[in-house]
Amino acid sequence: MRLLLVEDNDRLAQLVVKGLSEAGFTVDRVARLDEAAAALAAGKFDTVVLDLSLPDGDGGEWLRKRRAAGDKLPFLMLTARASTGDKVKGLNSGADDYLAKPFEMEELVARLKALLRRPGGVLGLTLELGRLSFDTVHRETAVAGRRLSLSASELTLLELLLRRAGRVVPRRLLEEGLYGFDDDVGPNSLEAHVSRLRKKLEAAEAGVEIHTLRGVGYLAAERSE
Amino acid sequence: MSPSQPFRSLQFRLAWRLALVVSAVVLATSFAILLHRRSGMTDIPREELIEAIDQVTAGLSLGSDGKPQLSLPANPEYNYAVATADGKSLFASARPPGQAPPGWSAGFLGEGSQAVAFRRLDTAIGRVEIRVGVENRQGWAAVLSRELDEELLPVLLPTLLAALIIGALTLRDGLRPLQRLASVAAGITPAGSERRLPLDDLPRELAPLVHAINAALDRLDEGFRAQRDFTADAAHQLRTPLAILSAHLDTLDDRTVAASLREDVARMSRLVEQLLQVAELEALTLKPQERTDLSALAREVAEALAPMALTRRRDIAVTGAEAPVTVHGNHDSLHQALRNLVENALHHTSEGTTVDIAVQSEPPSISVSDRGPGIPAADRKNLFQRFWRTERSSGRGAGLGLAIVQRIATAHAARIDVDDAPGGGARFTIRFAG
Repeated sequence: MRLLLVEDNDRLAQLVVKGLSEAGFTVDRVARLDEAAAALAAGKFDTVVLDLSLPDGDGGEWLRKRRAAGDKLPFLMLTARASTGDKVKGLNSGADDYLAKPFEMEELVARLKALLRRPGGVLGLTLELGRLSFDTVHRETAVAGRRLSLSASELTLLELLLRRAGRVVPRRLLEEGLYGFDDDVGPNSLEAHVSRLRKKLEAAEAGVEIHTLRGVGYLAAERSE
Repeated sequence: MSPSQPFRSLQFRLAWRLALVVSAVVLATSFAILLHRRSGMTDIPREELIEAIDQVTAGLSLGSDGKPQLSLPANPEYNYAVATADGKSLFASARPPGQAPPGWSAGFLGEGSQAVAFRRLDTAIGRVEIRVGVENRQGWAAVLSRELDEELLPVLLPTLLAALIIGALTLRDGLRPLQRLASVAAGITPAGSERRLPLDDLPRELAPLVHAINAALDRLDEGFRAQRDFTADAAHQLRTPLAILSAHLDTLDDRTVAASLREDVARMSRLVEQLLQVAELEALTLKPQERTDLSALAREVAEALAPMALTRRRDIAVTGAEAPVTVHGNHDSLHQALRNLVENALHHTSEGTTVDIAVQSEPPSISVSDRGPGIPAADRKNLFQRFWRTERSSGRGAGLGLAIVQRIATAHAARIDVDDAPGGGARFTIRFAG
């Protein structure tokens, strides 16, 4: 996974490069927007971590122009400005996610992996969590290499949950995903599907837990032993 | 212009002085009229005296016993005397007028109020001499007081009253711009510090004062803004060093030291975050059309905090958020308030329990309950003060979180209450006004 870090603070950049490298990323670091443009033109990157305020301009403006020009790379915006207004501005400029300084490396890695797990992302082909792996191309699941057979609706649910592993997937999103599999998507049909999926994962010892957040949605996470 | 201190009131003082002036003018005018009347008196008696002689003449008659009689109206306003031709007095008032010169059949004596008229003529009781005069102060004063009662007062009193009422109304009307200014000034708060006193439709005399006040407000606002910006800038500037510190911790070999330092960094980050929130809040004003759906808000906050909660083996649930519950409110600040409450609840609720976010529509409210130790009644009223901390929150946060929630609620004309959650624990509720 090749990543471009655009950050002008040398000390912070150094530490982030170190942290991301340990998490398995290959990191190129630049300190200015013109250097970033040059790096992106020269090499192929899977994702970009972009600081909002840089010596030669505003990262948000720069990204907006790139998006208008058709750049589809996943961008994560990093900034010291964390007022809610700035957050909206950051996402409006076309960033896929937004992280305010100070942040924990763990959080940055998790957010980046979530970005890369999106359809089209470099991690989007095979989703992994615990001992479970999900091949999104052939729509097959396996636990520690052993094939796990799931129904089409269960696969849909699982994919939605795995693409946002560690984060809440709202009920509405899951219900929309299920629509079409079930003739009546009643108030309890989502619960019934999740409950079946949960039992299968447990029986296969997939090491994946599906948490219910009553009234909110579901969250898939690695089972803590 | 406190009504309890009338002498401090400009309106009262002006009205009082105006009343004095008007009364003095009316009194002086009346007095002048009376003086004029009095000098006029000196010319009038001749006709009155002739009338009086006629009256006395008509009043003379012979009684059934053959004696002369005089019948006059009670308390005549003149003095009189009736004598026989040879000078024997027949009738006289208490202070008869002076003697008449012999030989004349009629005539006037004296001047003005001393005037006396006499006539010698044949009457019902034979030839007599009749003298009348007005040398009678009491009578004169009575004439004046009657004139005052009958002619002056009916005109003067209503005029005086009308002048006073019109004066008071004019004053009140003239001072109305002051009251309008006062009501505008009362609305100038830290959150609405850009408001200024209106200069339109203002008496020219007030304009310099209002200009001066507005200029003073400008200077205060500038200072206030500078302080607010400083807080925000300082907080921003602290973020990058904190990020470096945090990233550095990940590279430490000693994991236990790193974990403990990370807690400290997290606490500092939280404080910086809250300082920023406070700075933002100072400028928070609600736009009239802003609407926020409490149900969506509850789900958003739950989604955002659930991963952290689950990591710490706490659960979050949302109830009552199936249908939208829309209130007049600013989404971002309400999000912040709810987030603070839920973070607080997650910190206090015991492991393995659930923090409940409940949305209610009638009246619109949102509440957060935890399964912690609850909050003693004695601590509840201090809970929302800045930097106030109970022992139960020792070691974490600066005590700004709930003060921020309180400020946001106040900006929304909402009330925040704390009570016991059913089944134990604390419950915070933000109630909106319809």
